[in-house]
Amino acid sequence: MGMRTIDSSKGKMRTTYMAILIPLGIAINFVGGQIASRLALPLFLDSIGTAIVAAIMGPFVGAVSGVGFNIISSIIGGNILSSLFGICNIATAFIVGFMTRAGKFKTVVHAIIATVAVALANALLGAPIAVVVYGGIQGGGVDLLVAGMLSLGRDILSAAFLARVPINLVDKGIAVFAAWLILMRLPDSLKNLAGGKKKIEEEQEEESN
Amino acid sequence: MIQERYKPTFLRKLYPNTKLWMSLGITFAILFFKNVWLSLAIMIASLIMIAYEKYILEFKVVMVSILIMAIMMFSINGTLNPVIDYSKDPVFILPLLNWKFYKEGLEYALTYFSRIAPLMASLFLLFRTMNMTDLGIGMYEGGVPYNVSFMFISTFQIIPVLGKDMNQIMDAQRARGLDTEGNLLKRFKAFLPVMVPVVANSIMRVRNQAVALETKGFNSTAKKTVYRDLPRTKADHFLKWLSILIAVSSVIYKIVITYVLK
Repeated sequence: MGMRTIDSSKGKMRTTYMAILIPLGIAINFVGGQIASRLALPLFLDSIGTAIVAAIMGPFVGAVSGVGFNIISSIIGGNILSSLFGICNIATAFIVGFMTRAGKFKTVVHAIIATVAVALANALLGAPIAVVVYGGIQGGGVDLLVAGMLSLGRDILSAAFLARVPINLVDKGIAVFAAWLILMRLPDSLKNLAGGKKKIEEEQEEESN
Repeated sequence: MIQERYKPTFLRKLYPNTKLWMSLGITFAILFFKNVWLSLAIMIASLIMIAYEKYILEFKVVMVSILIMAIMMFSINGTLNPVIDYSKDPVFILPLLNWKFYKEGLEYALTYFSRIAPLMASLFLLFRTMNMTDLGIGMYEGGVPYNVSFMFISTFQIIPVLGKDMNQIMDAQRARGLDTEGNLLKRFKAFLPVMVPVVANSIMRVRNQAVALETKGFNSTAKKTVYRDLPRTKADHFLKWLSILIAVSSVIYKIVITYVLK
């Protein structure tokens, strides 16, 4: 790695990268949601940025970016209570971040495992939040599925959970997959910002030797 | 999110941190007092203020989402909620569709709706009358680290940039034959060709931004100064302490109600 003159993985440069990438993650989340609504897709698609930042900078920075997105989108949208869904984004960031740190976010299989884990975690965390804050009905596309589950005789918490599983599977699946696709195309110097930087460097040294 | 300069009204002249305290006070009051009439009063007051501040046009979007939420909440909770006792007579039956609305379900929906709708209206008002750069500076002056307030301001500057990128890329891909209308599968397929360039472009810019920030002394340990001078008035102090008082008293009220007066 003779080309790199500044070590951007720790110290002061890391703070600078954090100060750029956290707002960028929030903005990518926001734009993802905007594209989804422009294409009239029945999904949120607003955790792509969180996944990408978590993969590049590690789980904790990703979590900050995810929570920040929910707070800022609730400021823009006017519904401050929806910022509580930021807890779901923390789960997304942790799963993707720790998988990347362990070097397990490289193949398609890894991406699929991450997708399922993220979807389940989001449904598990999202359902109680929706029940506590909104009483189960939040005024979105999920509500129709919740109503269907309720009419089958489920209680409101399990209805909210079961309705969120398939939607999250598609929604976070695309988010995690997009993050994975983009990561594969990033230059190595930016990938090295992740927590697992030492392993990557060692591998590359071995390869060059 | 380019913010225009409006004629300074009372709400716009308030110090941004005061509005943060006010939103805390309103949120706590609505969540813990749990009074439908208080919620109604806050809702009406904020609607009047929104009309006075001339935000009616922008508020229409929020109003539509509140209405959709109300319809969803009342119809689904009123007919299907498990708290309903089906042995009782329904309150009313919707003609033609034969949907039966029950009292318990409607009350359940009203509890949640009276919590959310006034919060949406009042917080919309408070945050829309705030300049986000001023808020970031207010946070910095209030003791938040410079990094954090920089990230906050930077987010509001980056979102319109990426939005512009998105529009350009969408037009470019459409010119190359990308189908952004049509059935659901086609629209799904159109998502990645738009999203990937947006993200790739923005990540390629990161290194340049880092160098630019570094040369401008972002990591310097010297105390940062700001250009904007935000004045604080007596009204700011009064409203700040009033909202803190309301927040604290609502918490005490909640504790007394749940633990002492059982």
